[in-house]
Amino acid sequence: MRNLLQLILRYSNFLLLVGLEVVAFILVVRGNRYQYVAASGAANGVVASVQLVCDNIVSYFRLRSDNAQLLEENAQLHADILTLQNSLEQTTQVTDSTDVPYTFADRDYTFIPARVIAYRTDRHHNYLTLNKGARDGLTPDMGVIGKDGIVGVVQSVSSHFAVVAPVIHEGLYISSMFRKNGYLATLHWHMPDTRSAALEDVARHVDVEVGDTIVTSGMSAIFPADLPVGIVSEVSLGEGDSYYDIGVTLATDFRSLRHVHVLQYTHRAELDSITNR
Amino acid sequence: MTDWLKYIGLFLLVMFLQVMLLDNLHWLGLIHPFVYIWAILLLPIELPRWMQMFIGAAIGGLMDLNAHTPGVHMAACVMIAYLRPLLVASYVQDIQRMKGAITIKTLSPGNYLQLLAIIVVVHHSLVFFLEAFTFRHFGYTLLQILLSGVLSFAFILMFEYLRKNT
Repeated sequence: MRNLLQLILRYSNFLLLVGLEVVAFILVVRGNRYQYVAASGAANGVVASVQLVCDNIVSYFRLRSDNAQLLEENAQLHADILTLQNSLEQTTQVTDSTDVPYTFADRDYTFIPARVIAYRTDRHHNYLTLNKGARDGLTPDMGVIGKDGIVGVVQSVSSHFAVVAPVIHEGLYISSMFRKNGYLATLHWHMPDTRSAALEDVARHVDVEVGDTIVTSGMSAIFPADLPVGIVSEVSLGEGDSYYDIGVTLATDFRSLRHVHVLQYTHRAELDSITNR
Repeated sequence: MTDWLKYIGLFLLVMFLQVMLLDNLHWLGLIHPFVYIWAILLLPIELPRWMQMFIGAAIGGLMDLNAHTPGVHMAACVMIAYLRPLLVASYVQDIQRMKGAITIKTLSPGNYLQLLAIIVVVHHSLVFFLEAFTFRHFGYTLLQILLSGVLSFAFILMFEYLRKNT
């Protein structure tokens, strides 16, 4: 017994090293799981407040490009309104105009505008921090979109801030489909190229061409169907392969992303309760 | 007492530089220097080793909070906080009589450069490999370690030089 105590005493520093390293390793392994990545990170007040101060200073230098981006988005929205008005006129001509307006349940989303106040694009597990939080109705697992297409999924929220795992996060798999034929596939990103990702699970019998548009599948409550994800940039199929290797140019440029919308699904609780029943 | 104040001042300065400046630069998404390890190099050598390791763990934990990488910096910092007294002891006759920070002045320039190089390589290797958590992109991670390491090394030498002249 005394010998054992002496041994422990003699190697106490080394044992402490091993102990601390084990703690750190447990944190690393746990942190590699998607759910935990940023659970304790920027959604915690202090870090996010520092980021907000930084962003408030930097945003002055970006006013010009921000304006340009907003103008572009406005133009797009005006165009959309026109198209919608046209189709509305066409439908009111055939149906009774006193009908109660009706939305399909899978399209019932509310949009919460938010600003990106910090971001990381050079890591395996990248993130965006938004200036909206639980106070504004954000909860984890909400979809986030930008003007060009999908951005990511809300990961954790504090009262004033939210952390988003973007499409360029190695823990994220996006359920997508080909716009032309509705074939389902999974989009997964690997570092370092922030502009492109890989499309997995596409069997060899499917007709795939460079230039095909990839959109969200609508198979979860996170995103509605038909939001732009990206465009097929390269296709290859080995002699004996049963699945394609497909590269996709992502619709969103994460390095210049400033304004986003968080998607709040109205019937989420209802959908969850009926699927888990 | 004034030594501690000076240390805390330097610590805040180097953390500020790391978080506000270096963490926000995206050099090709490849180079990411970590100069904050200077704060561990400057720890008074006469502190008990267990305390040095705990301080290392705390500094690493702070960096992890900021960088969203639970455990990564902590593992690397604990390792270098453990290695530093061992390395210093291999350079000098009597480590018991040494006091204060380990700098170019307290070691010979040659020894200091060697110490710094070993510490930077160990720290950066652990950080980048733990962060990638795979050996699949081995070459890419090695390149990250090499380029970032060279830059961290140069920055810390520059700090040492500036400190000597003030």
